[in-house]
Amino acid sequence: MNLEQFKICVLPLREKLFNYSRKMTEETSDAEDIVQEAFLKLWRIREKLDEYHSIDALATEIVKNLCIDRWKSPSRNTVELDEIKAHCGWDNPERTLVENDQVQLIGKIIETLPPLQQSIIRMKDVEGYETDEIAGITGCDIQAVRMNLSRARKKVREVFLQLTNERKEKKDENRRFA
Amino acid sequence: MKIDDLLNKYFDGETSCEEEEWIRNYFLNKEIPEYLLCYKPMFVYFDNEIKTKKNKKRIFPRRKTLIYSLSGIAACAIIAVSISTFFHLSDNTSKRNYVVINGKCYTDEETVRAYAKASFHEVATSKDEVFNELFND
Repeated sequence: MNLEQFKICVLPLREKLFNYSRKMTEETSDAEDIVQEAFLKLWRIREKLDEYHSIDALATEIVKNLCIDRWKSPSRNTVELDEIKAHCGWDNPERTLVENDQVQLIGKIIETLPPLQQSIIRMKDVEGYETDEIAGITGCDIQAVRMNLSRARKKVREVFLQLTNERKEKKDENRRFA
Repeated sequence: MKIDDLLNKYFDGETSCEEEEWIRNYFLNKEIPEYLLCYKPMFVYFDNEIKTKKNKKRIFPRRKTLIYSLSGIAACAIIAVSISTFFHLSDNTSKRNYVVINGKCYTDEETVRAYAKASFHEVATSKDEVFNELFND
């Protein structure tokens, strides 16, 4: 299924999915994010969509599951710094600070972003989609995609700088006491 | 100056894919000023991910080509077998016609046909005979 077919077969469900999502989340901005995320999920499985009896039912099920995920972990919107540090052994100041560690850290930070921001940053920075293409897939305006992309990139930068600075301070402290 | 502007644009989500490629190449290939070093891991990470993705893509078509060529070979083999079977069968059909003259078996097509014609001629009734049969009574 190409973008044109996707726009004809899947995007018209947007209004219905948005209303359903708003009912489930009771929050307009959350509902919008969930719908965008659902469309990106549908886009990722676009080659298999013909195998489904009803795309409408599938899309509704995806939105429902995303809403349930949102209820289960509302803290998913915030990056858990301690979790990332534990994952990378970042708390150990004795460990040599090599560039490879820093690159891995970027991957870990991206994994802790909200799912929609994660999808958008991957589509733009890894898969090479243009912003207007992502907007076309999610059926929202370019500005909304830009905003999410900007938030995601700034968050990665912010968390990365925070963690590297913390580590540097710890190292300096240890050196002072030694 | 260009890299600073582009980085600002990048973090505002306003760069095109082409500009992003330029930034990645900048951080991969050039000597980077100290104050920009903190951005390097981010672009190295994306570059690694792109390369991994490309490698995955490359493996897939090779496997696909192999499947296509194998199915092509299989199709050719099936066609060859069916053509040879067809000719073999048609040969057998011609050999199934035979004639025995003076206790000797002939499978030669012309002899068989000539003998068959002669036999048919023997049993055939002429127009006059039929006319006589019908109207003489």
